[in-house]
Amino acid sequence: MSRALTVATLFPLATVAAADEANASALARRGAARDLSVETVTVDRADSFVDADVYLVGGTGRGGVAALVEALTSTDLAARVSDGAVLLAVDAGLDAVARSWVDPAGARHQGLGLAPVSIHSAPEVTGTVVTRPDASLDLPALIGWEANDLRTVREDGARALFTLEVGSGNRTEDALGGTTEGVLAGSILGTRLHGPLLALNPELADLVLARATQRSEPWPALESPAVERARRERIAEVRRESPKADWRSRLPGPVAARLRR
Amino acid sequence: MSDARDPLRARLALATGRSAGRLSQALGKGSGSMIGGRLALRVDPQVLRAVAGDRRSVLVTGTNGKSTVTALVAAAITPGGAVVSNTTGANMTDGIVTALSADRTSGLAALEVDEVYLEPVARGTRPKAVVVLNSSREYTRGVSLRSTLEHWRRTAAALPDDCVAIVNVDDPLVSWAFETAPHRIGVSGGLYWRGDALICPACGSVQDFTDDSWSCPGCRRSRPEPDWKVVPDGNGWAVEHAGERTRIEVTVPGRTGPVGGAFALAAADALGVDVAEAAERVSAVADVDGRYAPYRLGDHAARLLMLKNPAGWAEAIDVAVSTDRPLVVAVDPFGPKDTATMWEAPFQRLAGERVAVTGGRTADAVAILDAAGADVVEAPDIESAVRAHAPGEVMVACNYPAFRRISKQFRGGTH
Ligand SMILES: [Zn+2]
Repeated sequence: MSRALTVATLFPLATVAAADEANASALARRGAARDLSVETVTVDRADSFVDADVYLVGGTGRGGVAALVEALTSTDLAARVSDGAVLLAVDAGLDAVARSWVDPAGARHQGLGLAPVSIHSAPEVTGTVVTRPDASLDLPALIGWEANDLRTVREDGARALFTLEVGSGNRTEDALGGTTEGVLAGSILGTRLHGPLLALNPELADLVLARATQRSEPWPALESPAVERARRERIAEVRRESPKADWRSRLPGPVAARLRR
Repeated sequence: MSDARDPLRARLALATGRSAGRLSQALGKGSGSMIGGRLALRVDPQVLRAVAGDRRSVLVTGTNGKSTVTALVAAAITPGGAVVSNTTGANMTDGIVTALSADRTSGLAALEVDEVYLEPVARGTRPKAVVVLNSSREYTRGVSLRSTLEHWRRTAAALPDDCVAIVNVDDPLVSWAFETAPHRIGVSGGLYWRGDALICPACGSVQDFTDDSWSCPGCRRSRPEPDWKVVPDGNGWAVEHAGERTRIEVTVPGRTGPVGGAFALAAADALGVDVAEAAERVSAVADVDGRYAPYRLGDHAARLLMLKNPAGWAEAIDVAVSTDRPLVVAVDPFGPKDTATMWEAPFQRLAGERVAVTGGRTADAVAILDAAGADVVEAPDIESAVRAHAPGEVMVACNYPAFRRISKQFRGGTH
């Protein structure tokens, strides 16, 4: 009994593309292994917008955010997301669906307001990011990249998508004292971690697929040894090079916070 | 050598640069070409103008294929006189100063120019022709495509009146950036990677693509009709221009060779060199900086390709598939996103095919090829990777550090 899902990559070229194609095909691959038949579509103009189960909005660089907001506004994205479609909004995509964002000159603009965050200027950071495992989302330590000069402030008590072992993340003060990254609100996953994120982290692809199929129980274990080995090597390299990363920071967020107190 | 015509300060700068170059050679730090040129520029920014003198230069820029096309241009214009070229691949202002100051007598120059350095190099050399190949993103550079294009547009508008811009009209970004040039000639150079060019750089609309053309519904720009194009000719290739057909033989595998040849012939024509004669010289180029010459490994021959972005990988995959040669992928570490671009390359074209993988980033390459459905074989070193395939010619697709390492190893050993 195979279920069909549609994954739509929205306006990948309004901003600097950051491997959006790799994320869509990662969902297709992981979906096939989960007995889901995934169709991938790229939407380049408002009149070719489709009803999909998952929307990917990505890209880096703030130069194209205004165009992205304009393009997204003339689609049914907001209605689809409130009906439960999953939205993975990455970097410039997160700016576009935020309540407000800042352009490179520092001027504030309205976003689509789908994600309960506001975006502010901050010093530039770049580097490899390692997340902490998160049992509540069934996620191991993941790898990603950040490169931005932005602070992402969560509103209405929305939870972060990740806590970080290495990396700068949202750059907001967190109650638990940890470093948070992105936002998870309803069916919206927002993050600054760009590049082939879902390809490198198949468990995150699983999370997207679970939300898109309203699946509540965990997926059966499914190994992808090649990707896991690549990630393991990459994480080991980051830990070697990062003075901040000691054994305490590898513990799940709440445990680490308790130890710190 | 210094020349009595040089201003005194430029002469001093050259002397300093030369002794630093000798010093770095003595210390065993490579060829010394970068260190020499860099010091010279620090002393006097006018030094490029002084060493360029009044020679007639062709600049070659773009994201992919600069070294190859520069070598073909250098060959194509030799009927016009002696040619100096920065054959070491040192393609920023300082490397070009070094190349030009090492040869003050050649009346012609074929210069590979890093895309971000086009403006100062064009100002210093006052070229007769600028060849522009393509414009594609590189994650690792940290320079946005947009700012490179705007830099090119400024540079194009300021080119001398007698300079011809020879541009790849199949690339909408290049076409837009050079529409401000005083004279423009179009070459159909192909576009292996549309990913960066789908949005019109002029108006932000999504462009309409057909198999071999593009147009923008927003600002009505469209692909200018090319003056030069490559056509199949029997079992090889020919270049078509002004109703004439010129056959070229280029050892560079795939379509890259003849397309590079078309740019070279257009450059020769712009300098008044006879096209038929230029084509003979281009066809005589056997190798570009050791880049394409096959290295013998017993019953195998390995051809190295150096790749740095999705456009490059797409081209390499296309060469492997279209010429039916097996592939080795060799990738070494050079930073956090060193393999990120490979996730976007169309490796699924190799699904079911055996691909051998080697290098310091083997784990990443295995993951990427495995996801694409290739039959991946890991090899501890380049020799065993090549020998994982049946005897014959093998394409070795490398990222930059792996290319450096392997070509050095081959040159020192079996070649
Ligand atoms: Zn346009």
